[in-house]
Amino acid sequence: MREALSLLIPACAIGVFVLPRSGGWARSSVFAATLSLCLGIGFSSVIATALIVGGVAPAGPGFVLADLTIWIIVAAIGWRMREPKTRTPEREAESLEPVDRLDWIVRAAFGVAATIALISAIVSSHRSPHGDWDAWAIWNQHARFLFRGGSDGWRALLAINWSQPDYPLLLPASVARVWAYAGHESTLGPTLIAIVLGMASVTLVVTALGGRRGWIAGALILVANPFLTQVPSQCADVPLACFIVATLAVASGAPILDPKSRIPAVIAGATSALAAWTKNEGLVFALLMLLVAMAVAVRRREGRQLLWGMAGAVPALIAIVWFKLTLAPTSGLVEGQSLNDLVVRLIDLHRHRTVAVLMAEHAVRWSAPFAVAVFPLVALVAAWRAVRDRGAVRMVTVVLALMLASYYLVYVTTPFDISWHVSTSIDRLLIQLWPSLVLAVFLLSPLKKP
Amino acid sequence: VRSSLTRVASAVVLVWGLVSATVAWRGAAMRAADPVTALEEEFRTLAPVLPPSGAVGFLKYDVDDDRPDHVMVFYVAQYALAPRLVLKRTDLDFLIVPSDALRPGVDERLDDFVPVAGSREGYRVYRRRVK
Repeated sequence: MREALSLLIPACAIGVFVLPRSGGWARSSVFAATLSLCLGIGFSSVIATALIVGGVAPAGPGFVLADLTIWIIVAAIGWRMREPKTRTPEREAESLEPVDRLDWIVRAAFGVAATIALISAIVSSHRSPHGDWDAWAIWNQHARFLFRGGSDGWRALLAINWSQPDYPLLLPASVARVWAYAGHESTLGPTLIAIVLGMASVTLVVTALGGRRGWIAGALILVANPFLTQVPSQCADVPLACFIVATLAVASGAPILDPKSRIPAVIAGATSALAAWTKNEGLVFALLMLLVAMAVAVRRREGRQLLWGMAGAVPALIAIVWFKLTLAPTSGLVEGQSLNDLVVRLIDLHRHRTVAVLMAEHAVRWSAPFAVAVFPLVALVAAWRAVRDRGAVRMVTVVLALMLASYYLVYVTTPFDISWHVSTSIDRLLIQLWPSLVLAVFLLSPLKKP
Repeated sequence: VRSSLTRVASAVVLVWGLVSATVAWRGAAMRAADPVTALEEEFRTLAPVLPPSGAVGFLKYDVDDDRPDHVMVFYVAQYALAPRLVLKRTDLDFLIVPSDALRPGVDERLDDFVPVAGSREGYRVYRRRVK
């Protein structure tokens, strides 16, 4: 299980920064440990890419040594920077909160559902070890180029225009790194990353909300069958969903360390930039989060948190800017398109109608067993809460609405056949937003205890 | 009343989560065998006779080259043979040939090539004749 070890090493190093030092508060520790795992996968992919570009081939003996050295240094820096042990009254109250019989029933029901979902992901991975079509045709293929091609040979992937060579490298570089630790290519590597990030998406929501509503929110995420079937697909949509929900959970004041410290801002900056390093849609999300952070800074007349956020985003941003500006070919969505083409499509009402109808049809079908329109219904509840309540729920809902609007605009201006484009991608785009949508619904809906 | 409604809604979500996870498990167990693994194995057996990098050709299907199963074979060839580039061209030194891509009778696209290796299911590698 060297594959698992390779994921734990960066998680432990980042955990030194992120894990709370005050003991006895399980929810905060699980939230921070899950974040560390996600950040570890994200940042280790940036380092792996840097090593490969710098001439250290993942199949060679020096890669693991160099990678390990970097993570030991990161952990050592984190250890020196650790803040003294603190215990806030809020956390003490949380740790002492009584758990009644109903709580245990809710926890048990969620636990059984989550275990079955995990078994389903493992069974699916066993049946389809290379993942879904896009997984082997894009993500794992890019990983093979990185692993087998080494410092120069991997660039050949940029010439395969049907394999989306403009897609960022978080997932392929993570898989190549896991293979480097394993010493060989294995289907276990990408499977492990897929399942870990799928579980993390649910865990972040459960622990960010806490209490009974956290467990119920987790169960609601599992209700969506498209999400469950996409987790073992080894595609980038669930990882992107994970980084999006991590950012929004931290930005909306999830219980991680001291909210007044720099750590939440750094983490939110890092996870939003890692979303951009995961998939092109993540670029839109990172831009939206930057706008949110700027708006908050202007409103509070305090720019320090914004700067810490940008500091957290720097490593992944350097990777994505370098990749997009120096290597990646133009996306098929804009290649050969003039501004005139885009404007003509944008003012074509027939295209708007077609896209709106197709998106609505797919959203209604995107569902759960014995149900329809789960996504639209939950989105309506989130919108209602956003109108009624201020604060985090409004911020999260507005960001998600703008993400949906950006998908809509891309469809309206697409150079491809609209029906084909929408029908082959909208289900996965909704998955990217699903855990965050559930988070938005439950953020301000505390279930009253009996 | 609100508390009771909340409890009912919570119970529905929890039961629904259980049902959905069970349905996903059932779907995963009934999933058809993955065709990529078998196809990939075919192309892996051909890899030793190919150069370790650079471009290799892939013979276009004479009929229905854009049919999904034919597209899949081409894509899996690329997946299996990375970091080589697999291109639908015949002007390269090596050519991968699916048996059902050939034209009936004599396929003149292979005139300058000789077969050098084959897989169990009939995928072959041809090499350009030395003139």
